Amino acid sequence: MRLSKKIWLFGLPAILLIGFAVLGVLYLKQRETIAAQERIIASQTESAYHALSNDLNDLNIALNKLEAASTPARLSKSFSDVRRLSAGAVRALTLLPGTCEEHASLMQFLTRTGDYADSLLDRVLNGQMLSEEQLRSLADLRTCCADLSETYDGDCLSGNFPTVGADGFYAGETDEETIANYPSLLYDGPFSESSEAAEPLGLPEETVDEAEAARLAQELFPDRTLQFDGRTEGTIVTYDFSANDENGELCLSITERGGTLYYFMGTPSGTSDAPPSDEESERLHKAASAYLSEHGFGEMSPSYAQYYAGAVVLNYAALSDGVILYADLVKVYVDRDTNEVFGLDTQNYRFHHRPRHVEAPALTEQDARDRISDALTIEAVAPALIPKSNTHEVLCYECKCKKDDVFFIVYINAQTGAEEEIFEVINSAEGDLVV
Amino acid sequence: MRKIVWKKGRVWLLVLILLCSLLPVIGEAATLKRGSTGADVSAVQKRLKQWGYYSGAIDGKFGPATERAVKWFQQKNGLKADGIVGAKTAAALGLSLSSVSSSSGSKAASGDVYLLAQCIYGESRGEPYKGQVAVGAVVLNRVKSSAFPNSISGVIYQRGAFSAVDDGQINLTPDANALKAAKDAMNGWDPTGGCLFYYNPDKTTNAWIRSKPIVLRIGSHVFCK
Repeated sequence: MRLSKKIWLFGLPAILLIGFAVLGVLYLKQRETIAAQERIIASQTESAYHALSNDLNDLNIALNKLEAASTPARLSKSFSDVRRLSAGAVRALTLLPGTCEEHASLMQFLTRTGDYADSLLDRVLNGQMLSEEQLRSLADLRTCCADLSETYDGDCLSGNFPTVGADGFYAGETDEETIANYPSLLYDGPFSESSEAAEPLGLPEETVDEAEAARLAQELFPDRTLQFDGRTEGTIVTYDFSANDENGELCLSITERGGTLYYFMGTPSGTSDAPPSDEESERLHKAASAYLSEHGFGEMSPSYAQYYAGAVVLNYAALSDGVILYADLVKVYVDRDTNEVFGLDTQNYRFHHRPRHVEAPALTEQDARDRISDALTIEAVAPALIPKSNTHEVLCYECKCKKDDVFFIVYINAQTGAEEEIFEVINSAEGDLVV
Repeated sequence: MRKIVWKKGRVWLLVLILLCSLLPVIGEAATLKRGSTGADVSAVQKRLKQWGYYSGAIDGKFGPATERAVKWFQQKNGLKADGIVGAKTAAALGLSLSSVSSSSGSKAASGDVYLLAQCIYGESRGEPYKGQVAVGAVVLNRVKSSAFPNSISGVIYQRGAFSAVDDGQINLTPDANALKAAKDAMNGWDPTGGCLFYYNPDKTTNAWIRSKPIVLRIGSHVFCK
């Protein structure tokens, strides 16, 4: 009894005291940790801001030097600098507080400046001079870059860095007016405005309505009970359907223009993970080729393959008079256990496929072979139209080569003889990777 | 009274336990066992059936029959016959199941694919499979866009781009579905028709994103350009 009283009198306050002391220490430690982390974030932000400011300053200098350069060697050096500095500025920008939409315009300006420099570098390396329009565009870039450089440099000098709010995002105000004043650039590159705004070329103008799309979908999959899921108002507008029954899940899309099958994806049952034998590979290709032929895809050339999750994805490019059209790509998904085609992706094909007028090459196949490095052994050569952007293709000789155990694909421009692209083919367990 | 003191003592013990609970907890490694369900279980059942250890249905449910088959397989292959598919049993089955593989095993996927799968898992697990591929496609559409960084890691870790990065869910181990969705997206499957954004209308109040024209809806996500 007396002991109990003592416990209540001394034990309780002691435990409470210890508890509060522990909580207090934990609170102080946590506050210290948060303060340290805030300092780290602030220093990283300042570092990124300085890096962006420096890159913009150097970019401005590189663009200025372009005005003074007159030899291909000097122009090449400056264009390479512009490309490198733009990439550096993009990297720094991604580290600054602010949402992706707040940085989108400056990011676009920097990316396109680098991409534009890349396209002009190609031009110079191929012995061409810059046009009046290109020189004007460079002048516009210089003006814009000088303004940006001055702004960011001023912020660095005055210590006016972007701050991070309690939610971890940019706490200041975005300057919408600066965003609108970036010059537009006309060129053929993967990030050019024309390429990003390109419209599909492989679909007829005539459209089908939802009922007709449903009829076409059911015709393709007569054994499935399809339901309409809605429209995708994407670059290519589609009607979307799905089924979920004892045969697994299925989703498919029919294009509004032309009522063609855009893609479908079923449920594979294969489990094979190992690389396929030659015999299996041949069997899978046979199944895919037969499917394409039955569904009106015309002459197609097999390209690379990827194996994963019990399935193979076989890529086929359209052929036109013996020329491989690499932009017009179809992906066929085949189940490795059943050899059944369970998926098809025609996005690239529907976007690009149309009759091409391919100009006669200035070079012969032998001319292309002669331009391949002596270090390589040529195994096969074929004409191919390769995409440089969504709107620009180049006729090349595709030369499959080998050096020791390393495989390369070299594309020689069939008109100019330039080495347009060099890819290394890496054999992996999941198929051939082209890098 | 002594009894009462003990009861009150238990209260203080609980207080101390609660205080101690502030300490970090070490998580357990994921495994497949009786009661587990999903695509990983289906893959195990299928492989066991192919090799003659299992004759039941491939239904993705880890029941007694599956457990027996796993034990039989483990016995035959010199593994501890506990009926649980952990990293070793999965490896012996020749399966690289993300949810049961060790950290080194899951790195078998290339860095970019794995990071994309982490983003898909963190952002859209529980969504329809097509919706998971769509999240991956949005990341890749951004990589191809001039308005975003031109690498997968650059896009995913761009500040404020994905909530899974902000709340740390990006660091969860992706399951087999997310890994497959990442590979499908990397292979070019884009169910979004070129979208650059998506949001959950039930959770987003941002007026700017809500003002964008909707391209399509998949599950609880709305996709836009």
